[in-house]
Formats: sequence, structure tokens, C-alpha cells
Amino acid sequence: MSVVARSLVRLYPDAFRERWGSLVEDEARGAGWKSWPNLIAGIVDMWLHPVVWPADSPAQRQRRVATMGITVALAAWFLGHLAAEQADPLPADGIRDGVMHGCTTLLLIGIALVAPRPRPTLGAAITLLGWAVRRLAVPTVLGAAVVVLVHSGVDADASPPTLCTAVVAAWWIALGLGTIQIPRIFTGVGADAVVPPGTGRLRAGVWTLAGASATGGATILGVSVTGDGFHLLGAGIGAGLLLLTAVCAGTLRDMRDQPPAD
Amino acid sequence: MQANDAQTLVLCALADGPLHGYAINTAIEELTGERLGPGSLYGALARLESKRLIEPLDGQGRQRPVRLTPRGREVLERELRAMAHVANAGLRRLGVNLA
Repeated sequence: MSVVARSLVRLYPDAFRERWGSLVEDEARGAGWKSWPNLIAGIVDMWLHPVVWPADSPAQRQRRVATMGITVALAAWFLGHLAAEQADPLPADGIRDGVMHGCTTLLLIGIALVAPRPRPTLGAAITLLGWAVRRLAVPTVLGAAVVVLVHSGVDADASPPTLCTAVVAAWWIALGLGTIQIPRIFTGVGADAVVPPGTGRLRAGVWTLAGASATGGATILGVSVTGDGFHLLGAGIGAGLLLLTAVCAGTLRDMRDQPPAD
Repeated sequence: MQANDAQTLVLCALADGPLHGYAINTAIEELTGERLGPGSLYGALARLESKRLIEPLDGQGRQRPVRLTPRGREVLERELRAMAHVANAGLRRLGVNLA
């Protein structure tokens, strides 16, 4: 039983675990298996609220908000792309396309606002490049292999269905891995290489991302539910985008609750 | 915050003085009849620390006790006064004698 408790505690973010991990484990061990659902809810809660993790400085919290913002933006982009490519036959019309283009523009503005800035030094550039190569090597190679295969003259209609499925799956895995790894570049490089934006800019960025994901999610969900029949994937993607909006709202509330820096 | 909110309960438990996590939960059990789950308790402690309503005491090893900050004491008092005001008004309307 203590093995399960210890394994669950390992799922907490590092900063939280270093400060509270052993105490959480003691409490969970004492309470037994009945505490596991609460523990799991606590783990999810902490991952969704990086602002409240123990931090050495306000700047560290700002870096976490920036990373959270980039993660949300990339997840929203991934879901929007998935809806456009895979959620056929969602009915298309000019208004919906216009709304989705608007959401993409908002996402780009949000990323520009929340993204940490590289420090203007050669060392910072080298560090950033090194982390980018390490994190993005696998998705880049996988994606490039798919592109090369598709453009090598292989006839999709003559290929076995399993090959087509594998190629499509590899493409989405490459995009998904890229989406996961880009925020990890910023968590890896640390304060020596990048500077987070100020609080006001971060707030504006998170608000922008919330607006983009809310508009996109509502549009896709609405079209999936009210169009020609119910589209399960489209509805799931719309709901996912609305969940990202809730994550942004939680981050904004956490930022509001923070006391001003001394 | 609400009366059964984990953060309020932790602040109430710390009103008497510094406690470590396990003792905080024991105080909450005495207050409400049940312990908070570990995710709720330590999530509340992390939030309160990030808002600088509580702070750790130095040099106490792994079981570092935490205590209310002056700001935490002020917030707790304000919240409890607001709750007491609502509770008194509600009980009066129910015709319950408060004496």
C-alpha cells in the first residue's frame, strides 16, 4: 500500500514534491487506500495550478505561467488542427472558417505575449539551441520521415490500410510530441537563458489564449452538435478546447490571488 | 472562502500557533469531525504559502511547522467575521436563540 502512495506522490510536480512530498506520503500511508482518490485529485489540481507551486521568487512563478501559457496555446493549436484535418465531415461554411482563422490569430498573439524572451547573449542562445535540438529531435525526425514517405511516390490507394493508418498515426504522434516537447524546452533552459514577461503582459497573454480557446471550442462544439448529425471527434475537440479555457481562467485567478512583490 | 473550505480550516487550525501538517489535520478533525485528504490538505498549504498567508518556521527538519503571517491572521479574522455575520443573521431569521 505504501508503494502505491509513494508512486502517486511521485506524480506531483517536482517543486511541490520537494517541499511537501514526504509529508503527503506519510498522510496518505496513514489514511490508507481511501485517500487515493483525494490524492489523485490533488495531483491533477497541482498540475493545473503552477502559480501556487512553492517558488523561490515571483519571477519563478512568472516563468511557470509563461510555460503554462505556451502549453495551452500549443494544445489548442493541436486540437484545432486535429478538428480541421480529422473531424470530417464537419460542415464547413465561411463564417466558421472566419472564426477559426480569428482564433488562430488570437493564439499567435497569445503566444507572442506569454513566451519567455531569450537573453541576448551567446551563451543563452547556445543553451536554448541545445535544449531545442534535444527535445525536438524525435518529433522532427518522425515528422520528416512521414513527409518523405508520402512524397516518395507511394500510392495511398494501392497501399495496405495498415500502412496508411500507421503513417497517419506517426504524423499525429510527431505533432503531439512536438506540442509536449516545446514547453519542456523552456522548463529545461531555466532563468539563465530566458526571461519571463512581466505580470501585466502575462495576464494579457493568458486572457488572449482563453478567448481563443473559448471561441474555437464553442464554434467546433456547436457545429459538431447542431450540424448534419452528431460528430463525436468534433464534439470531443470542442470540449477539450473549452477545458483549456477553464485552465486559463484558473491561472488568471491564481495570478490575481498572488500578493504584490515586496 | 467558505466555512468548509480547506484553506479556511487550515488557517483556523493555525490560529493557536505553529503546527506541522499532521497536527494541522488533527486539529481540523477536532473541529469538523473528519480529516482532510492528503491532496486537499497539502494543496491548501501550498496555496496559502503562495499567497503568503502562512510561512514555514526555519530549522525544524522534515516536519517543518508553519505559522500564520500577520497578513494570514488579518485575512482569517476578516473571513470569520463575515461568516459569523451571515451565521448570526441566518440563525436570527430561523428564530434560534443565540444566547
